[in-house]
Amino acid sequence: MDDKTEQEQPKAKARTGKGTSRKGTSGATAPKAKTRSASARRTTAEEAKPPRKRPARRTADVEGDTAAKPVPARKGKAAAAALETKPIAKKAAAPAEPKPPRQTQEDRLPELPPAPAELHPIGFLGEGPDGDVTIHPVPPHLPSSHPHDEGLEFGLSPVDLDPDVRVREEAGLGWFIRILALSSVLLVLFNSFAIDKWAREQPVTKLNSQVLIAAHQLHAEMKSFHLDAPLEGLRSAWHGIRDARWPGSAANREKAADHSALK
Amino acid sequence: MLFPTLTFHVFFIAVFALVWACRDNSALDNEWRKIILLVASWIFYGAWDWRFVALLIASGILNWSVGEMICRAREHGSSPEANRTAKRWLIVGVAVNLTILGFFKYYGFFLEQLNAVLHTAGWERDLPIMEVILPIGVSFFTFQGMSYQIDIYKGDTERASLLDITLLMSFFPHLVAGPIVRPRHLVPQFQSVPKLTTSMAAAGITLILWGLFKKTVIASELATNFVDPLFFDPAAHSSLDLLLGAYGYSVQIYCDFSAYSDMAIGIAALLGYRFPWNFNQPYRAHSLQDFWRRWHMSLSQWLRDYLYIGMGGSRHGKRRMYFALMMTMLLGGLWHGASWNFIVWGAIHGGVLVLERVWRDVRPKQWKPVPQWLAIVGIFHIVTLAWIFFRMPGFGDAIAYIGGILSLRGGTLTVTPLMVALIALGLSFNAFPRDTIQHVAMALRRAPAWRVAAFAVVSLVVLEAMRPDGVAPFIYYRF
Repeated sequence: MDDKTEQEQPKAKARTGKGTSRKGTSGATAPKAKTRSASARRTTAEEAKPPRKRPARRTADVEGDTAAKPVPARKGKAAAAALETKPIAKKAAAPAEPKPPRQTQEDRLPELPPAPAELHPIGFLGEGPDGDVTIHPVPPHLPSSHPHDEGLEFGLSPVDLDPDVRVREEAGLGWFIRILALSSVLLVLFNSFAIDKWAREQPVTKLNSQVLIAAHQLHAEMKSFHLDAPLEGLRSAWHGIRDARWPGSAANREKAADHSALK
Repeated sequence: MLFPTLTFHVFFIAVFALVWACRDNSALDNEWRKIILLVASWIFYGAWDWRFVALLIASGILNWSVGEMICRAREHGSSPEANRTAKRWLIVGVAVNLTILGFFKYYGFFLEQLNAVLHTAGWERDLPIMEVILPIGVSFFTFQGMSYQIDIYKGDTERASLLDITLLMSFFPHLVAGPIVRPRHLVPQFQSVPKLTTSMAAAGITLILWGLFKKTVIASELATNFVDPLFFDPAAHSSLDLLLGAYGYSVQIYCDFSAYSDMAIGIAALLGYRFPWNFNQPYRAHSLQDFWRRWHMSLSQWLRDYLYIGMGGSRHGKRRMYFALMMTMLLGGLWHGASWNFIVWGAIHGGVLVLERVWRDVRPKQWKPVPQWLAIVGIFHIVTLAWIFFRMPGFGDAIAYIGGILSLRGGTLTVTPLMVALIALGLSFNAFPRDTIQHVAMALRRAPAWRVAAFAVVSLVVLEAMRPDGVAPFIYYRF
């Protein structure tokens, strides 16, 4: 059990904005923008790896973001780590501060769908000790280190892949439906054995008898075209590996004796 | 309906088609989506035993009703009286949940123990023992229901609709073997319209294929051809076989359970929902505390938040902390099933956790800590020792198994090269680069659909060639 986490309840962390070392100070936005890539290079390998998260969407029109050029994918992690330390001023905090120059159209990433309520376009909002708003690429109550190092906090998911800043996070439904349709057709062709095996395991009833017959016929048909050859080849190779015994073992000696008797 | 079967494959395609047919972003369509998922989950659960679908529904209604009563009590303000009423409702809710769990899971066990005690005291007659069928996944959905009540009471989660709570408890990917998903994690997802991004789809495909490999090739092969025969008759095997059998079971249970979690997370992702991590390379843990941060994380976090902290945690001094740790692990052991062996398993884990804390406090500062690799090896062996109690039906059987290892008995070696390779492979997963699966998914999401389909088909054909006949149920189905 983990008594450490008891003292770090999410609520408390959210209130205090965990990870003070990552927080910037008020008004430091513009000068930091230039040095960001250099500081990102200086970070250690572990720091450069952001915890897995819901893709942190990066838009150019976030106030104070002066380095909105698309980052090459290989530098994506370092860039994301650099984003961790980026403070943005609260809207009402410093009205006199000049606004950073607007981005040109080429600098902007494609328009992205609106982020969920709790997710800032480039991360999660936290509040610094001076009242600054700080952006974290993970929710402020979650650990700042790589999730594999400290134990994963509840809430992170293996389906949260690192954001790919090169490509727009597309709707995957059509993409997956194409995969599903294509793979189903290919499996019917090349893995009809599985359908036949399933059919043999079913109790025959009036309702399903036609389906079961069709499954057997399908397998026979595919076999006649030798489409089951890859599967059968792999199966026999796997059975060979499964039947292998240690050199000099009793089973091997028996096998050898059988061989010589046959000869 | 097991995940790695054609029946489930067909079921999932039907559910997937129906769910994503509700593509309108309106709230009404989202409600229909949830209703479809709920009915699908009941069909999934009913495939085992239709009678227990009623239990699932009743449990959902109970937990939602108690949550409502707590909220209503709080609506009258935060006066002590309102708090007392809310607390009373919470106690009622938790007690009913524990009664359900206790009846289905522990009734027979406790009656057997009572019979034994009465016999010792001279009572001649046996108490009537009823054969109670254990509903699959009862521990998981009951814990989820209880966490809703407690979170509502503590103000840690928002009030949810009956549909959301029933779906939270019944959602088929995690219904029978977790991960134990908390209301504050899943209910907000139910309340918003899910989206399937390429990242989620790619991660879902990768996790499902990875889970299939771990379950059908490693766990099933090890169980069928090595571990089960050894644990069935340890006296007939050499010490080396028994030792390798214990390692084999460690690998089997990890591959079996983490495979289920991976597939559950992957299936949920394809439906547009994010489930949390449940395993994180547990056999690379360098302390038992670290192990529990990596193994069945959703359960250990549940136990920590609702039991350990509830019992005082580390806020009331060291002795109280040791007591809370030990009790948490004992109850965690009992959660797995009504058997003394699970209690012993919990006691081993609790005892070592306490010892770790004590050692941390008393170790002279000039003494160097144990090298990391040695700590990892040591923790793996402690965990493996505990697994023997977990696997064996009785305490005496487990002791006989351990005795067999220690006796250094010779004899014919039954372990085959393939089994040794599978054990080594299963252990090596804990030493893999940490984000291997995520990197595969990231590569897949950039590929065209035909290439991903080809990858999936080749993987499935290879898995079909390697899997043993039939599919053994997941180990955690019986919990």
